[in-house]
Amino acid sequence: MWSNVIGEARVKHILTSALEHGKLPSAYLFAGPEGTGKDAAAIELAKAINCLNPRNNGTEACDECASCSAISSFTSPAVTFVHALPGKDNDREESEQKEEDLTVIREQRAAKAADPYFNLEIPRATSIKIGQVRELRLALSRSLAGSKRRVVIISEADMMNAQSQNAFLKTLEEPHADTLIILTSSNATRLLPTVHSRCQEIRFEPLLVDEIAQALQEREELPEAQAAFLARLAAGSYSRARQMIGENVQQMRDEIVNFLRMGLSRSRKNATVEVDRFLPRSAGGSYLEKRQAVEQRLMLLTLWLRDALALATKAEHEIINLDQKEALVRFVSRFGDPQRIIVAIGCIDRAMQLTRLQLQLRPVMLSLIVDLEAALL
Amino acid sequence: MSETFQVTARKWRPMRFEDVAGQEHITRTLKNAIASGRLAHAYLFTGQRGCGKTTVARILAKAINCPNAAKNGYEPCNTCDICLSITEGRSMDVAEIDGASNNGVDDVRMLRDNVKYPPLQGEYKVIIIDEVHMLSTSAFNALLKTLEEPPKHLVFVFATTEVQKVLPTILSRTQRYDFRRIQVDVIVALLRKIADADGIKIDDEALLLIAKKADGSARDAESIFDQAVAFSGMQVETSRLREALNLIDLDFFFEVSDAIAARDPKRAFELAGEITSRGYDIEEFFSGLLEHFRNILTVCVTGSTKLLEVSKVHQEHYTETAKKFSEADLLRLVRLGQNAFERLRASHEPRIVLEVALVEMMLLERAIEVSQLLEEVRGLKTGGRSSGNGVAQEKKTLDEPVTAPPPHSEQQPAPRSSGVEEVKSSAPKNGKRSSTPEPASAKPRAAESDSRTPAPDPEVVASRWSSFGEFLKTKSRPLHSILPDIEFCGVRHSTIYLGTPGKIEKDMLTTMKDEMNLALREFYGSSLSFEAGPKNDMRVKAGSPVVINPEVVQEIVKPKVQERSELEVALMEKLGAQEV
Repeated sequence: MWSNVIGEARVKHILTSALEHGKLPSAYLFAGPEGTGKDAAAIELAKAINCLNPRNNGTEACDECASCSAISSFTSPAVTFVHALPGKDNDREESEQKEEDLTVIREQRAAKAADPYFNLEIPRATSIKIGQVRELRLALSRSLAGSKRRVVIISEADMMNAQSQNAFLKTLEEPHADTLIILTSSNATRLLPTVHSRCQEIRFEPLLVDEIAQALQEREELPEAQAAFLARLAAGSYSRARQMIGENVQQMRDEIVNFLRMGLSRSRKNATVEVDRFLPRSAGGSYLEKRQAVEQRLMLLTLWLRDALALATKAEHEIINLDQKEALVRFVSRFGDPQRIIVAIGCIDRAMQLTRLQLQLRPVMLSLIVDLEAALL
Repeated sequence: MSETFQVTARKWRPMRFEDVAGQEHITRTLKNAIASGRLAHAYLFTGQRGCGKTTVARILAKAINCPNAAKNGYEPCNTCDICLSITEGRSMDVAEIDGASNNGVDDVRMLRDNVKYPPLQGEYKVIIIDEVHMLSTSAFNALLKTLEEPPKHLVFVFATTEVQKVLPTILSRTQRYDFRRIQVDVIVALLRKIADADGIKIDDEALLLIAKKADGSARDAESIFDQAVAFSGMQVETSRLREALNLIDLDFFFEVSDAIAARDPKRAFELAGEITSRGYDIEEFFSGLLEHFRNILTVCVTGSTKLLEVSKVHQEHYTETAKKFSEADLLRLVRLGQNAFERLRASHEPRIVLEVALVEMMLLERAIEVSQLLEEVRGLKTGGRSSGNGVAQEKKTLDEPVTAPPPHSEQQPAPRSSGVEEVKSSAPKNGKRSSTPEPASAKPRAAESDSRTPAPDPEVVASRWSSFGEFLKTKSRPLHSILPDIEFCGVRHSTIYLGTPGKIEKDMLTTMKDEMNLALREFYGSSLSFEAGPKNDMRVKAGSPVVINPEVVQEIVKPKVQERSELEVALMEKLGAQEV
């Protein structure tokens, strides 16, 4: 049922009216930010097409029939779900997977089947290989019994490298009449123009705060207040909101804001201490974990400064960190020059880029503090 | 139901040379070549996506094999057996090979072996290699010999979007045809034909929108057209089309430029909210905005709307809008837009990039104002003091939007209207301050200190406390930095009572007592001392009413989860951190 997809009324309308008018194209490209339900919508569409007792004029899956449940559990022969796999791209041979990888892949696919908003995290799965594209083409050439229409979902299609994308063009342009190909991508600009031009592109928009909050309450059974807080920080992405459930976001946010304050007040020494709070000097954690910790906090700091900017330009009602309003007011009363806050946000942006270059994190953070001070004071 | 629907791009794939839109230079040449029997043995078709390369290749394959072609003006008849077998892809003589998946040297070897045999039905064997740029170098090289001297019955057609990836040795062995981007009006005509044939009602404006968005590609245009029809049925309206395609209305850009002209940074967030909630692509928004600026600039520079590709209503709108901007402003706006565009690529938070860029644009100081200011300065040089007011006033207007609300203090902040006076009176005392406007809390009231009061009148001390803050800045920065957190609780018997939020501030005040006293003496001109302590204690001592601070209440009411060090308590109180 379409209620399985959060928000996105416009997208749902486009898809249902295409179903109703019998105007499904041979290929869709679902493009839009991460965590807006592109895969979920693709699965829902596949169900609606193949449902045995479709509702609402054939535009909605019943979620009960054999076909629907098979598609939901990724066991239907009619629906192929393609995603990046680990291993080298050894062109000719069919990509063979190692035993331990297979276990992970199976688990991950099961998780995705249970919840379409789940982000697959398969180690070393960096691309959709040309071998997979070949396999897919072969599979599509065989006929299919019992289903109305075959649906191929290529999740995060931009993971196809240039070779795979080119090899896919012919299939994409002229697939069998009974085939629907759905590409989903949160980096659609990385797809070749020749791919874009062969698909009907449907753009997903960031979810509204209320939509995310409601979904968090219904699906994750979060209390209202926490749901609202996470929804505001999620920047329109349900996946991101859900990722933050387990973590103490408020504490992270406060840590990083304290770090900012330290830098702007007297003691640099305390700033170092603050950095060490989330970057344990020697103990525990790989570089990647530390980097993620830093990136998450920098993101929260950007949001916080963005609120300060909103406040400084008198757009109070736009504030995301509502619980921090007093602190923000105090901050703005001292460092309220919007131009300077803009420069400060630029500094954080640069620090983000530096962490992505895999530089040492502590120096990056300490130089960020100096930059921020120069920007704001 | 859905099985019967075929996308327009496939259903309407041209079957005759004359149906190919916008590539007359190529179709005519090919027809002439067939007519005069001067067919080359290898063709290379290049051009961007969706401009007809594969289509022309297929038509060519039919035209040279169709027995009826000569009668039809060298167009394929599409009815004979040969034409049909090629259309349906079952001809033994015409092979369409996907260069991207058959890109190895082995594939080419196989191909080479096959082409030796003469055609079964027609006159020629035609090998179409699509996406030929994906062939590996060794595959290209394996092809060279065959390509240079193929059997008589063989014609190669290569199609590619990326001709720069094709080896020069291949290029030199082929006849190259560059397909053009299809002009907007040609696409409109094409879509009009399709719409009429399919009985779809759609107006010209909607078709124009589609054609523009398709960016020179017939296939893009046709798939957007399909999308529009799928969205709104047999009757397509322009407004619904915009919604379906997420196109940004030109009126929206006018809203943005109006807000920029009005220098209303508050609108930045509202507009950004609208952009994201309407599902507009942020990159698309920026490129549209840049085009909008370009249009305004065009009107500014040329003084007419002749060069704009917009409707009449919008032309007038542009004339109006152009009056609000100067060329220099627009150039700077364009630069800001471009910067944002670049940042967007690298950022994980496109929405924040958008908001920041919009605020930046709305805070942009007008070049007009700066030039006026320069004029004023010139006036100052010649006209002397009287026009000094003008400068100050001008400065004020420049500063206003970037100046933050005054520091939060119970005392009344310096009223805005007195700004001019203040700048003037502070000028003699501290020249630096008036020339470089301090950010944020700069309130140059300190300069009024020439009116000395020998006996400290509590009222006066209280009313000038905020100015003292400014004064302190020049004396002791450490003390100044903590001042906003310190509450002025009252004066009694030459003692100022200061409420501190935590131990850190209190300790600091105590250790820097001498400095503080000196500053107080200098500023108020009489011997004042101070006492620091918790807010409420100080209020009691000063004899002022105890105000229960909601913050404090919160702090008390909220059960503490864990013991915290003094430092943390101080941090929380001073800096407003909250416990999680």
